[in-house]
Amino acid sequence: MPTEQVNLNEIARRLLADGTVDVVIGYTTGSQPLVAVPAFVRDPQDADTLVFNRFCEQNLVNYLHRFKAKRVAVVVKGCDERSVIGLIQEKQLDRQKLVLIGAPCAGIVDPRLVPEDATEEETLGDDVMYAGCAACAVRNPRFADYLIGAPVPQPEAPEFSDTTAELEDVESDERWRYFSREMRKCILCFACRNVCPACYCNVCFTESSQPKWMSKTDDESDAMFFHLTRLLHLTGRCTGCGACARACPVNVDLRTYNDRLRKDVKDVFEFEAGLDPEARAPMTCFRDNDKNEFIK
Amino acid sequence: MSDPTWEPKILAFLCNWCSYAGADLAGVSRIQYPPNIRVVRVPCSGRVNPMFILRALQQGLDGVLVSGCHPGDCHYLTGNYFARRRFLVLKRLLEFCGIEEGRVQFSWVSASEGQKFADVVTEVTEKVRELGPATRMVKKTWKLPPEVEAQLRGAADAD
Repeated sequence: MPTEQVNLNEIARRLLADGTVDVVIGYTTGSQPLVAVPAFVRDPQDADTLVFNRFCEQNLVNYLHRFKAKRVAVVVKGCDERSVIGLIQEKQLDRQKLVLIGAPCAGIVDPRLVPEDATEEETLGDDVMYAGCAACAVRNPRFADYLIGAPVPQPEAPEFSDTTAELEDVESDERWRYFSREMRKCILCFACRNVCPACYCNVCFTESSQPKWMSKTDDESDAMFFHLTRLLHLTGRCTGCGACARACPVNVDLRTYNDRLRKDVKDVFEFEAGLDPEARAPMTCFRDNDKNEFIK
Repeated sequence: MSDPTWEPKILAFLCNWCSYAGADLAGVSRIQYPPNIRVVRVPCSGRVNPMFILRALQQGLDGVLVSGCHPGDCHYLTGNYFARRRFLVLKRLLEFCGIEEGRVQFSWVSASEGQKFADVVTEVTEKVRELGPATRMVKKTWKLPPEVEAQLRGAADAD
């Protein structure tokens, strides 16, 4: 069944006016040019403030944790929709209470690549897109209730980061150099965790004091401990939406490591997070014939 | 600059029902194996949180061995199957990040495999000896200044 194509503002107004949802989570224009910010619309009159453009980089699914008691409509890009499916699998969301407004997305602009004097969207080409967006395999939402535009073409691109592939081919020492260089940048601000829709533990291991898993010093080994543990916690759960990499204030190359993890999960457990709502998460099950050669 | 007296220090998580009993059998059978492991008895290999292993590396352990029951033999029926998946991901991730292959190793040793336990410990110790003292991911601030270190060593020698 083809999903109904609608206008974003009209559908938001309609859903709020007829009481289908309590709040519409979407994007609105930011206070600066070339920026979009999250918007929470509760009044049908405000529905016109919603926009969707190439600056809508936030993964709004992360906000759904705070609206569990409400009926919510949320604007999702293809990547964000995978997060929704992941959370439904983990019984964190009730699909019945949720209206998904799908936004076909041809890629989001990376503000770090935008020339400083640019003020008009039209002047920006495809070369200022996030690297993850250029390799995106889910441009069009597949499970959304409505689509706010025509589906966009899906170009062929390598599924995982090029750096991941490059690092796989080099010596262990080289991989270590790259890893420690990235980890030295990390200031343990935990922005990556805060924006991650899959990170919703009430008490994160970083904050737990009993047991006290990690200390937060400037020693890079603490950053390594944090990132490795976070990766392990995201095994089979990371959908590769890239929110963490976008949120990072010091540009740690998180994508390379997330992609390696997703690649591992795909190769070894034949699983991809956020694609099939019925699939069983790989770390919650096992097979008799799982890989065993690495164990003596 | 390498210390000739250096001996690998290896943390071994042994499951209560198989590998710990296997280690016990190795002991009562008087089988010789290197004294480099420090044993932590855990109820099941599934009890071993990957964070334990990362923490051990951070604290400067030269190697970590996790040993449990063979698949199908788990006292809790499925603990080691879940552990196997977790360890696979951990091992691949560590290697991708550049932690030397062999720092973290896994084995299945049953209660009747005293000889295998000794062999595994020998093999792991030799591998870690080959790799040398752990440097990667070791938290530097936990190292004492050399003069304090020397003082402590002096005090220990005086005893």
